Amino acid sequence: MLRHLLRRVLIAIPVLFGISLVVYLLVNLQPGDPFVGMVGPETTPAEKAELLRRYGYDDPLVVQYLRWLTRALAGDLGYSLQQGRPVTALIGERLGNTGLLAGAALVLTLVVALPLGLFVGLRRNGGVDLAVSVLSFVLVSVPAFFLSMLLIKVFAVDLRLLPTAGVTTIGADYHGFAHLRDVALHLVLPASVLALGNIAVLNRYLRASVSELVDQDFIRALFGRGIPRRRVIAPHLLRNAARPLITIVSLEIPALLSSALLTETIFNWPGIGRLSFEAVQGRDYPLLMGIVLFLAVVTLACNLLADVLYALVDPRVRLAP
Amino acid sequence: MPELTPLMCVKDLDIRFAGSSSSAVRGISFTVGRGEIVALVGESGSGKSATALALTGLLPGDAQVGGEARFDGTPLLPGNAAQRNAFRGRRVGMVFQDPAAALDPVFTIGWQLDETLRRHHPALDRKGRRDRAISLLEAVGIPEPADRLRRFPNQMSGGQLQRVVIALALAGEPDLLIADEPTTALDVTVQQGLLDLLWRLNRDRGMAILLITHDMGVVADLAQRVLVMRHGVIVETGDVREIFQAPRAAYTRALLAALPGRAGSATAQADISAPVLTVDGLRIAYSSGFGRRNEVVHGVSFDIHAGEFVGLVGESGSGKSTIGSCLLGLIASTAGRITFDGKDLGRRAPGDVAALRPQIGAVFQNPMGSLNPRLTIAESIAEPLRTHRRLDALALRRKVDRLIGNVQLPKGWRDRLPAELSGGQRQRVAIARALALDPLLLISDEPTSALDVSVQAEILDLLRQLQQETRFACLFISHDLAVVRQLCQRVVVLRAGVVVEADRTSRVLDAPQEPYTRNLVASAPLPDPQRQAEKRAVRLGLRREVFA
Repeated sequence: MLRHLLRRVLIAIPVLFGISLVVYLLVNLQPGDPFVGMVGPETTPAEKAELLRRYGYDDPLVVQYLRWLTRALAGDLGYSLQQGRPVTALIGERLGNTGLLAGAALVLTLVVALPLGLFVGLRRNGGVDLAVSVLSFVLVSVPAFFLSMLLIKVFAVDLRLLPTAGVTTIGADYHGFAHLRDVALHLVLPASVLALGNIAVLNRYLRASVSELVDQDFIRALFGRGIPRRRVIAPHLLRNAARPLITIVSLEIPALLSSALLTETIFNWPGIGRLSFEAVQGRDYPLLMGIVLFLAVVTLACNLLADVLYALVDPRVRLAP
Repeated sequence: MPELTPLMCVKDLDIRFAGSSSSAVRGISFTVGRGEIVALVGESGSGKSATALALTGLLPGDAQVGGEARFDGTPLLPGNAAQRNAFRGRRVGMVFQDPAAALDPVFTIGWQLDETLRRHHPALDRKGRRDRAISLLEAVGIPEPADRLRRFPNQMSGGQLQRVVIALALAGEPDLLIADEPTTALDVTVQQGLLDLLWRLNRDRGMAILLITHDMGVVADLAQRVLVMRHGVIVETGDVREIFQAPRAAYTRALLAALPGRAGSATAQADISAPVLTVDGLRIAYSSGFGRRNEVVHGVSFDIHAGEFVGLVGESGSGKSTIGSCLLGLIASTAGRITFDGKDLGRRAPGDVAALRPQIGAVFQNPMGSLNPRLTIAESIAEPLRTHRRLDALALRRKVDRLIGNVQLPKGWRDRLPAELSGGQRQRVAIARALALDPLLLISDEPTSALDVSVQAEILDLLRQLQQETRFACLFISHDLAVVRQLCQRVVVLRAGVVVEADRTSRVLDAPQEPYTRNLVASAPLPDPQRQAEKRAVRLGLRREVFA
């Protein structure tokens, strides 16, 4: 078990270095001049060149990369070119909002998709299964921005039930429970948009693995030993279906963080997604690199977590040589 | 012997699967007496497994079941699910074919035993259940049972797993055990132990057994009464000795006649010339990660002449298929020399080896897996010809038609897909494809293991006939000694990657020198109830009078 984990961690380290190198090169080899916005219009080219030299931008790329890497390892991702503030602080500010949104979407996904997938997997080709299948394909096919606008039109404009933008109501000064309620109401629409597509995908996977498991000999053997149906479903069916589930969810978490871009933009939600959009637009290289590196770390961490969970639910992983 | 009151009474059982126009089981009636071992025999598709599943209510929900079944006076069919559920495990236990698939892979053996014991003995506390689990494992012959409780299914061998499955079935102390091909997935030596176990359970506990099998050797070994089933109908019922000595139904006679071992032995002469293939000191290792290598074949040597069948026999894991794959160039060897048609395969450039490849044909166990399901049989057979021979369309068509004729399939079938063929017909296509390039050597890896006995005999005849015409050399990999005896002039016995014995087939199988070979030969059940009973008496040290 410990060896299994150690091996996973050891594999993660070179992967992380590889990602940092690729990210650094990709960002730095892009055309365009990020320093247009940094210097005033009256700066002469000679002065600008002197500035660049002083900040180390004339050094070979390798030297620049190593310098960036040593700082990054110490937790210093540099300063945003546009806002002049530490990248870590900028990411930290937005992280809470994105975490809230992604977390709510994830919980919503699991709460809906797990029972639904289990149900349709056990009753394949029934009426509910057909309805859920059709709905799933519709949800996967409809782009998130269109779904967002549809939901805004129905729930915010027509029914006037939910707010459409921001984390809190602007100008309102809520405290305590009222504040929580305000945030929760703002959360409903963007979290639903993020969750709906994921629900459709997760539901399909779970349906497939459950319906495959139902035909397995060992499930039939459990019934043959007189084990009641609910005891066959939990724990046998659920624990065997957990592995593919863990894979999907561990991939979904980083995807939720980065793909929230559109949703965050539409709902004016100040999160990582919008921050990265701003960074790209403003050629804010240090900020962009910081965000990409952060997402890479999250992805690796989720993979590592998935490996731990695999080993917990499946002895074949744990006991493999 | 007093008249046995039937434990299970089945009347006019009819099973129809959803989407099928005809019934899989068509109105069969039979009984199983208390403490009786009844064998339900038939080839695949005869409806024997469906019968077992219907009696325990384990058929898929969309299957229609008609007729009646009573267990100890209580109706099972037609009956409600709750009633059947109360029977399952407690009155009727089930054992399945593949023990590795019949246990939940993510829970320990102990956990699964505990779960079943909790269900059937609610009064037992945790300690009581643990004690009971240990005694159950002891009863089925698992060594160090307390230690085994902590194991997961993937940490145990197939034979041990099947014992665990039987222990689980015994947990509810059922009166009837339905065993569906309980030893088919196991090696002969392991099979023997399990058949002994079932025999003991029947004798000591008076447990009735409904044994479902296609293997007449297993029937002869264990059964007291036999039901022969074909196309969903019972064609013959009778005492086991009657069935073997004086079968009445034509189908039963055909089934017995098709048994290998009754059809004579190999007689063809090999060509006395340089061998087609010489394997000398072959070693093969698999990589097991991080630079470690796990050697599975430790210096194996043998040769094959033209016109000769050489059997490569051994239990699963002995390395016989690995050697076959190596000769086909699918796995690299780590040491040793392979000389094929006078050329050293190891010392040649990869391009030269590729040029020799068309000279070696291959037939595998499962023809459904080795034929592309989207190609017609003519396209499958033509594929090696297209790759290695430049033939015009007409010549190709003629050659393919001749090959289809050679394996005795109708010419009009060239445009059929594998799914439209039976298992035996598919294997004929695979053989035609393997022989398309007139190879010097044919490597056949368990080519008849997935087939029914009668079909098996046809395929063996076909192979022999084709070899007489084209004189190819054949390495015949098999675990079935009866088949090897029938086909092969010489046999190489492999154990854990080492050759333990190699000689003429008659010498090795009739007078085995090595204990391993002797055990292997003795383990294979003979289709003769009397001799099986005698063998068991000797093996278990029982007094002869029991069988008199």
